Amino acid sequence: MGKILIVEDERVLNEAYELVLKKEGYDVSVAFNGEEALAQVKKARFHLILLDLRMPKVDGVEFLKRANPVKNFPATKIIVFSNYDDQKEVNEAIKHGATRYILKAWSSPSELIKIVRESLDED
Amino acid sequence: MSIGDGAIVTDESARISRINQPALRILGYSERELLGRWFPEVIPAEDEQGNRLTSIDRPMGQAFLSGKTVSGRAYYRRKDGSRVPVFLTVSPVMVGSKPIGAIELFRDISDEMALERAKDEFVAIASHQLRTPATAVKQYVGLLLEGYSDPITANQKLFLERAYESNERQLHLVQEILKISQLELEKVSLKIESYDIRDIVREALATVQGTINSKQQKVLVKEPDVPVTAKVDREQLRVAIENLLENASHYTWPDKTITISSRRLKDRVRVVVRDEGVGIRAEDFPKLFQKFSRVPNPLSLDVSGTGLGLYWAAKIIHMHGGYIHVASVPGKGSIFTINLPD
Repeated sequence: MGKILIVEDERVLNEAYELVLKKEGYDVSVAFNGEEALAQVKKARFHLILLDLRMPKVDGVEFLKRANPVKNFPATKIIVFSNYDDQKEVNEAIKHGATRYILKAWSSPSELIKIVRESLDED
Repeated sequence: MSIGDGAIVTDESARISRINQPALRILGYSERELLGRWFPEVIPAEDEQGNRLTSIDRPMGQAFLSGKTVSGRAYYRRKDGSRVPVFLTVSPVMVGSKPIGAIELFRDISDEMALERAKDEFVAIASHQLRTPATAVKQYVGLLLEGYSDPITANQKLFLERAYESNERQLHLVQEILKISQLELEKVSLKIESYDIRDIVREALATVQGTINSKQQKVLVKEPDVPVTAKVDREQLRVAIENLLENASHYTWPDKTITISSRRLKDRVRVVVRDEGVGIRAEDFPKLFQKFSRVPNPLSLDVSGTGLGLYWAAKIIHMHGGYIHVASVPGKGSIFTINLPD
């Protein structure tokens, strides 16, 4: 099963996503900001990263700039999973290696599973 | 308009014959530099995007042409080259049906615009903040409904579904408000490409088909056999057409017909949405395209809306350089027409 990293500063959301994806059988790691996410991607390779944009310390775009996924882990799918839908910021994330943008507010547990499966080409 | 407003008086050919102190202060000129000069040349007027208005397009030109008072916003270039937003009113001075000159009053609205911008920014920030707790409610009610916890009774399920739906409505409302504030903060840029408008109409129709079917309404699509191409932002135009179709369905009784047509005219492309609905009184027309305005009618109590759909659609069409207008007969139906430049 795929390895997934959840990067989300909102604890209740992070826990909900973890619960849902673990139950689906994924190997889930979590980070609560971009700094923790940077440490995680140094330790392990993920098939997919769910990345929030607005976070304390290191935000989503900054994480992408520093982690440089295009060069360092091109096989990892990165879904920007944020409630912040400023066109410029989303474009910036896509430019730095994010593969897709989803508005968090539209995703119920079952929709989250669907998005993850689609991104991992499991459908 | 007040005593501190700028005032410029011109002759019949728009040469400046009088100018007051506030006008000189706003524009940064001395009286000597402006008297006798041709107004459109010495004080260029521009639109929001910085395009220079021709002498006919600027409000004074319009006032001379129509013989009527014209009001509106524009940007003037000061002597030092900087731009100043103004609200202005021009009245032609008529002798019989001939203008012999014009009086223009204007004021600097920089402060008002800064305030408006601050308000829009506040709304954008507040809306984003509101999304986070509502997203968490969605997740956790979703977890209960989708069986991630202990089994729930039928009654508990019903209550949770109601909570979920209510929360969805809140999320949609926040979404609508954000869409508007992003437009107003000019954070939305159109991705303009050449498209066949017939395809966009079909896509929009597919999205609202469910709503239309649920009211047993019929849809008539009128289009030519050849492509109706225009340079547009496919996604944004589709949503604008969706808004019109949704309104047409909401404000039309069951079993009636909604007609959507697209065609090319000489210098523009036209999309028309016609319904057989409750109609709109002429005195309500100006309210239609205002923010949060909902016009009372026999069906409006049954329809949940934000009052933002038409406002948003009109803004998007304007950004394309087009315009939208409405014709309606109460009790018979309404016709919304989108005109897009070639």
